[in-house]
Amino acid sequence: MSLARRFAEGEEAAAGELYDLLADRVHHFLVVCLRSRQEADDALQETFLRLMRHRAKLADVENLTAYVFTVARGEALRWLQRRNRRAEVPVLAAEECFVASEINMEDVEHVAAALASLPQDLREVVELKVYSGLVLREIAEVTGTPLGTVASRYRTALAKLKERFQRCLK
Amino acid sequence: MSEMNPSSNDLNLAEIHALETRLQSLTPTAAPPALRAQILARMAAEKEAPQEDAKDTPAPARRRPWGWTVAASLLLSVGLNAWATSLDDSRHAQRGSLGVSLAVQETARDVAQIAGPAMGQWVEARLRVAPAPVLSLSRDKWFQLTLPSPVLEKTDENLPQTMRHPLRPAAVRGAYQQRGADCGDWFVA
Repeated sequence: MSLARRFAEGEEAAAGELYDLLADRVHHFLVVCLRSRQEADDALQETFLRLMRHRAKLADVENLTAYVFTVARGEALRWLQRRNRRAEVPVLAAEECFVASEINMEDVEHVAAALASLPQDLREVVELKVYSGLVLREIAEVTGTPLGTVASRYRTALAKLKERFQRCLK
Repeated sequence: MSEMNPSSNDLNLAEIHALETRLQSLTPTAAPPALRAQILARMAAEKEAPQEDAKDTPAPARRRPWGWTVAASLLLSVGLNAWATSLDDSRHAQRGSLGVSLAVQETARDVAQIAGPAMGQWVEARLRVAPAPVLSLSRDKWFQLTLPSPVLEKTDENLPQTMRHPLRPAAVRGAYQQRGADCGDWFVA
């Protein structure tokens, strides 16, 4: 029986398995969306609570990963709407997104700055593709965007990153 | 690994692969370990709570007001129908049957007293099937305004009429007068 169906039927271990499977990736995605680890923690909790609250729907879900990311994205949008009323835009440090050490600190800051320079819609696709491990079809499902648009955004984002990396090398 | 078209956006497959490799060389941060126990505990508590969209849970009555709305509409329609029927009956009691005015009834009654019940019924039947035509002032004005101007013109009878018999009325005037004659004398003021 699939994890989604076991979760929908309320199996004890299914919640832990689902958390271990997706929590880290979803948390990173929320950190990037919300630019705040504290808010990402809260949004991650709300995401899993929402999944538990509406667990009956998971029985009919075909792609569990895409579904969880869709719920998480909706939760992030709600947090952003609340924050827009307060007009606060926190600044996200590179160490909050990526694991940095003394060896790769420069590279982490370099890549994080390049990613931060991308528009939000392009960065979202790169984050979901590269760091969340979703394929373009799943990203289209999560973002509610046509597959061609997602592919185009991914190409554009990579082209912009390439330009930025080349500019930094010069 | 990549789903990209190699010829797109000036990036070839090797460049795309290199970019993805560089991006993937970074390890994204994970969720705080303490968060796992906290979220799972909250999920367990949420699981014990009644599920919002459980299929076997009946919906509260206030979420489905259609039955009450239909019942109230039926009761209202029955009440309105009874009220309209009683109002109609009272009008019939006051004014007689529909389509026969009090003046016609009185006339028929007078005729019945003088010439007998059969004549009274005959008079009432004749008056009932031929109600007096009603012509409003606005309709009269409308007729005058819509008449073609040649009809209203007065011709000099001393002038010879060519291509037309002098006694032949104009076509519009003839139809107009004929319609007035059909409806009685109500048009000819």
